[in-house]
Amino acid sequence: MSTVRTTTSSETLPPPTERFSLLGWVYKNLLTPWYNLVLTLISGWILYVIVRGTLTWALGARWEVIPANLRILMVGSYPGEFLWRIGAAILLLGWTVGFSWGVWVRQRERVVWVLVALPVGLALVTAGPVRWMWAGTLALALAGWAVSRRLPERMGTVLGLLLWALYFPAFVLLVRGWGVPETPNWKYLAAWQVTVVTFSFVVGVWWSRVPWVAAVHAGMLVASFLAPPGWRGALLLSAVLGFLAWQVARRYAHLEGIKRFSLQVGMAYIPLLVFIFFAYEPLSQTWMAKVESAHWGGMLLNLLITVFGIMFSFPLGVLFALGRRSSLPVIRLFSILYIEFIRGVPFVTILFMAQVMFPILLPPEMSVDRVVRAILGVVLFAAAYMAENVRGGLQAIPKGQYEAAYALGLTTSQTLLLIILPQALRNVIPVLVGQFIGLLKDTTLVTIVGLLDILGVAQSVLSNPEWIGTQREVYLFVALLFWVISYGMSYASRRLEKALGIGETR
Amino acid sequence: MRRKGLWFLFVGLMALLLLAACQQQAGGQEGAVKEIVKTVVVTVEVPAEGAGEAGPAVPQGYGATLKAVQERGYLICGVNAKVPGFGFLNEQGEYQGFDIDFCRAVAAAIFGDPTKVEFRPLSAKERFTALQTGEIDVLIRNTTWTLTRDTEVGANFVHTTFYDGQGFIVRKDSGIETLEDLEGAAICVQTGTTTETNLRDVLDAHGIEAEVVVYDDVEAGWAAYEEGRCDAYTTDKSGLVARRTLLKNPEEHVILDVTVSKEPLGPVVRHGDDQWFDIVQWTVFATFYAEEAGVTSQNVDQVKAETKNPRVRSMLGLEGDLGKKLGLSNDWAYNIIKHVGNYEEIYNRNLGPDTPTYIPRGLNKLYTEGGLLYSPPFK
Repeated sequence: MSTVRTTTSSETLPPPTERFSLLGWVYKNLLTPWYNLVLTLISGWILYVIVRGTLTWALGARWEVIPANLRILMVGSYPGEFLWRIGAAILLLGWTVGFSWGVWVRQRERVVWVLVALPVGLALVTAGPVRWMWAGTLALALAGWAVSRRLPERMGTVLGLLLWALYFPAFVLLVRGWGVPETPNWKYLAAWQVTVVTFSFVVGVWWSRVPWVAAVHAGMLVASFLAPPGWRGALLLSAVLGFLAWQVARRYAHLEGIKRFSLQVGMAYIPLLVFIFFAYEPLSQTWMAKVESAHWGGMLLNLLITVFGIMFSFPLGVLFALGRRSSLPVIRLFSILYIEFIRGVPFVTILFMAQVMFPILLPPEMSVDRVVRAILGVVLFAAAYMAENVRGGLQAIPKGQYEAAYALGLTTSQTLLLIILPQALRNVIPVLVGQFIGLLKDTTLVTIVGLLDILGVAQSVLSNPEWIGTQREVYLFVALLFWVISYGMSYASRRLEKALGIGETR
Repeated sequence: MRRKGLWFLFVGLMALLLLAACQQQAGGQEGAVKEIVKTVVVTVEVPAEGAGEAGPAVPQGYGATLKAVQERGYLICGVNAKVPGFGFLNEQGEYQGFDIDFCRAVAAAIFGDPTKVEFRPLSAKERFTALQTGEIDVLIRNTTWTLTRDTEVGANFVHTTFYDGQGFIVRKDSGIETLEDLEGAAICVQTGTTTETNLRDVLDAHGIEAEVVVYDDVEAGWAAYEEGRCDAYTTDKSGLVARRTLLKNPEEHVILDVTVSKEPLGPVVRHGDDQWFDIVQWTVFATFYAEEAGVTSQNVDQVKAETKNPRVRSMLGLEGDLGKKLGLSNDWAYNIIKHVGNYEEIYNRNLGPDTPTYIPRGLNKLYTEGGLLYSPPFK
């Protein structure tokens, strides 16, 4: 029995394997046909001229201007004896970032990359006594990561948010330092605040179902109107802060481990009092002496303005976006007027208003710090653009979402906070990050109103008789620094988008 | 909805027209910047008068500034951080320069300590506002003394510490030798300064048709000149001299022998506090007179011990109570000379032959040597 062999004609041949060879590729793409050859020659020549010019310049450039002036480019005229405080702020940042990474990202392989990149990057841009810190930052970041991974998830989230909420005041406190308050009995006032807040928190955690604690706060509120003038503001503040602490404690009282945490808070109370009464004043004259904002300069100032600009303009922008879509005519009109007015004016004009006109409009006994004024200008400006971006996100939400939310019995604010805003903001993350990057770069405009940000310091360096004529080196360095930071921000945002699943078909 | 939008646009346009009309009434053909300064001054004077009685924090009236400075514990000095030789930030993050040294001299006169001063870097546009609103105590920021600034802007020019004037630098081979030769040339200038207005005035006055190329940034302007995009660069002569040494081939460039403006630069204080005016003025005079009498930071202790010259003795506080009359301690001038130095020392430290920004002293010599520095007697 012979088996019938199928004919080879029906066999499908595999496609011819294309052997890649460099010469072949060059021949095919660069040399044939003749017009490709011409293009290759022309572009090759242009490339050669550019590269040769760049290299000749780069090799002969006076790069020593950068290391010599690195410190002032980074922090301006910030006094050398207090540079360690900026170092401490960076260390703290390492811890906070590491901690949040452990809480929110949790993957091992990525953490190593980012946590190594961060301190190395910082080491590159920091100078002198701050440079040794990168190792410390790395260690702290890894420690934060290790600690946070072992915490229960909910607890980690709360602590992570708390860390970020505390980081910014701590940062400002470190950079600025503190002076001794002029009020004679400030020690007692501060101790009073601490006492009220601590005990409100502890009571809230342990006896979360007891409602009459609010009566105590209300009592303090009433007392604040009857108290002598020196105590009035302090009582009012303690009533508000105490009530808030109590509410927060009640809200999270069911969390596992919170009772132990509240005991730790209680234990921190005694050292805090000791600090207020015995350490604050000596420290304010030595280690933590106040550094006036006129000394905040360089990249420090740019980052400071950016961070505060983002922090304050974001909520404001969301409010204006909601206001513009509100059905209440007064709110809507005000939002429209604000947004259109600010968007119709160049940023530099607003900065000039903030620096030159604003102090004149104030009553003569009031004065607002120049850096604060710049931040104010940035916030007002960014909020208008933010509002329009957020509105774009809001308009992309189908009407059915609102209707479904109302059908479930959610109130308007619940609908907004739980249904609409999370979706709307998620949609506009790429736009918002784009705006944040723009904001960072816009901060260099404060140099026009006389603040010594990194660009202002760069110009000052160029006025140093020793370094006149090095503008190419200095400006290139500044540009590179901005590129690194901007690219870092956009990389982080892409990761965030991926993590949130934006851009995937639903 | 569309109608509404158009209506907004209309209102905006009307407001714009109204403002434009106001400006025309108020100002004539002056630049927009000056308009702003003027508006600023007009607005500031109204609340200041009203609040005069309530004890405002902005020091007003005789002696208020010194009191405020002493209570604060340091002087706040408005400066320019971007002028070679006059004010910049050195590698240690400290301010350095000719103007900076006069800030330190005022601090030394008040506190006996030249470090008790905070520097506020200011842009050209905001400097007078900062002075007006009390943000700074004294403005020492290469500011030209003019009548308008001395009156309307509410500033008082104390005394000239540096006599400057606007000049031109050109390439030797360009054949330009006089002002008239600039016909048809491209002239680079920094915008927003008196230099730019001077240039246009001079060109108009002599009927010269030249192309004025403005740059916001000094460095960019110089780069344009060096690359040949401009035939001439104009700024104060001090700036020309200082910069010429930094051009690639300094000997190929020449500074024209024409001075088209007077640019007396010096400290500025607010209107209304004559004591403070006197303090700053006599601080400047002390540096002049110390040079005249040969007192330097090196020999001041020796002079103090040995001198018999009655003027020097009263300046150093050995006789009389000149310091008390200014509201200061009697060794105020001694502190200036000891810690900062006399005029010659300040000059040579920042602008002298050993510095990259060397400027020949020219008019800034003592009157005994043919210059304009002349101190009234310390009596």
